[in-house]
Amino acid sequence: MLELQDVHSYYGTSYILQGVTFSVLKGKCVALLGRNGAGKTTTIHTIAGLHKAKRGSIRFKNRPLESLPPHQISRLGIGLVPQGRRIFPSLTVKENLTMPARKRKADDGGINWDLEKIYELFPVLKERENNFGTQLSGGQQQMLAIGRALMTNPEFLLMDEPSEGLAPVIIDQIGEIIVQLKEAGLSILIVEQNIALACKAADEILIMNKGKIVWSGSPDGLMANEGIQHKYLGVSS
Amino acid sequence: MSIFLAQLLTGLAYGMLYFMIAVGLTIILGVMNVVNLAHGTLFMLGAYIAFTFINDEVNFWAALLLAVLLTAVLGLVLEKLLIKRIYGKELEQVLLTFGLSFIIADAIEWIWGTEMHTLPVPGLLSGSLSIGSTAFPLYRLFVVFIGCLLALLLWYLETKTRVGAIIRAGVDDRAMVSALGINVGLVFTGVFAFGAALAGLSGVLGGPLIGMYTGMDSEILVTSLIVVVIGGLGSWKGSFIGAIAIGVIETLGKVWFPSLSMLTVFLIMMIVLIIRPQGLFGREVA
Repeated sequence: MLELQDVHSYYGTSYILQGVTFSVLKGKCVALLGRNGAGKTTTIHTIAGLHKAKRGSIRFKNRPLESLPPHQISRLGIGLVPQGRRIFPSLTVKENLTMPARKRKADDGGINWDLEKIYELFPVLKERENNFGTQLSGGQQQMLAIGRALMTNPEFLLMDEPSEGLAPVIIDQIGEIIVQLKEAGLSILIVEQNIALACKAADEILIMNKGKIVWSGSPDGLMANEGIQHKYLGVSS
Repeated sequence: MSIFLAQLLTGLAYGMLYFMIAVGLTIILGVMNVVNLAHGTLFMLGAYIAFTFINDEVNFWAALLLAVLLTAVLGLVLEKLLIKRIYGKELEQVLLTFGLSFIIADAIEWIWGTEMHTLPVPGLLSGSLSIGSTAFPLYRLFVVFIGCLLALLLWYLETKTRVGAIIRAGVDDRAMVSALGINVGLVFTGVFAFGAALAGLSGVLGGPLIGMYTGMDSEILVTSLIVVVIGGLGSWKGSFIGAIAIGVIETLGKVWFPSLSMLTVFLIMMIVLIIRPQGLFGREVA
């Protein structure tokens, strides 16, 4: 569904992505792990069009993305749950959801997300629909960021560190939501620091280091391989 | 007393004109981060376009509508062809919009000459309304009414419509709005054309009061920049309050302290900036 082929990307003169190649199959969840500065967020931004790749190809449903502006990439069916949530502070919870709302285009029997369905998934957002975005707790903001992306009815979800700064019990809840979304047919690329969450949600794990994918395998494979965990993820045994 | 009330109405009418022009400036600034120094020239152009139509026996209201439409179209073309290329580049924006203001002002002088003109007050509004011993010119009342109507419309657009939500979100985080599938470029073009239309509208409505003369564009630009600064960058509510304050104080100042009339407006700006550097309704900037 999504294929990156030898993608190179720079921020000014720093060489961030140094030839990234991987793909995400339809209905699968792939987790991208790695230390800070490995290039995970740049990968997400490059796919979403917020950052332009210098070289390489990015294809979504066999259409090239690399020269499209972000709004067209979104309209092809890619939803973004960004790092730090980026909830609009001048909008209420409800407006954060309705502002980007789009009807489902794909005719694949998937859920057509609307306000009602989002409130079903996250009842707490309904309770707080008239609050402004930044009056929510971190976990609620994360739910709002997920809900906001779902309102564009994507087929593919990019999630950048959804567990960041959240309490363990909330992280579990977010993990369950991700599994639920996958079961509903969404394909997902998730960037994480939290290995447990990544292994719970993902079908495949990629590890990134210095702008390259250095390891890939199953969640079980990663859990069994302490050497890799230690070398690239800074997990001390 | 009755003289004071009449002057107050004049001040309010001027304030509403300042509001109509400053609000375009402040919205363009808030949403697109562009200081459009050609905004005063669009005001003047609106008045001259209406002047031409009225001289061709077109009725005032039709001329008003045509002038607003044409300035909106000009705004649209300017944004699409020129301003679009220099988002985020402040120096280039200043040079471009300042240059545009010269070009348009010279074109106006070339087409319409340098003599002063005024627009006739439309027949329907040529009378005045007498309350007690005070006569309030109907046209000034009308301008105040239109200004209030515009404020109401902006409030509705901002808080009750999806376009308003998109614009507010765009001020918060432009990149995120585009990542949600919204064509921010199109929103910018619309906002710029809307601002230009408001400048044209205020130019025509100001025609019977202020008239048109060489150099009025920079005068009105400076006044509306002061309004924007007092009201707070990007805030239409601030522009509304700031414009009314400036209009009233300027008018009363001319009567009460004629020798200081040039100064009063700047004094107000200084006081506001000392007390609230971000302007009355501005956001705190870290």
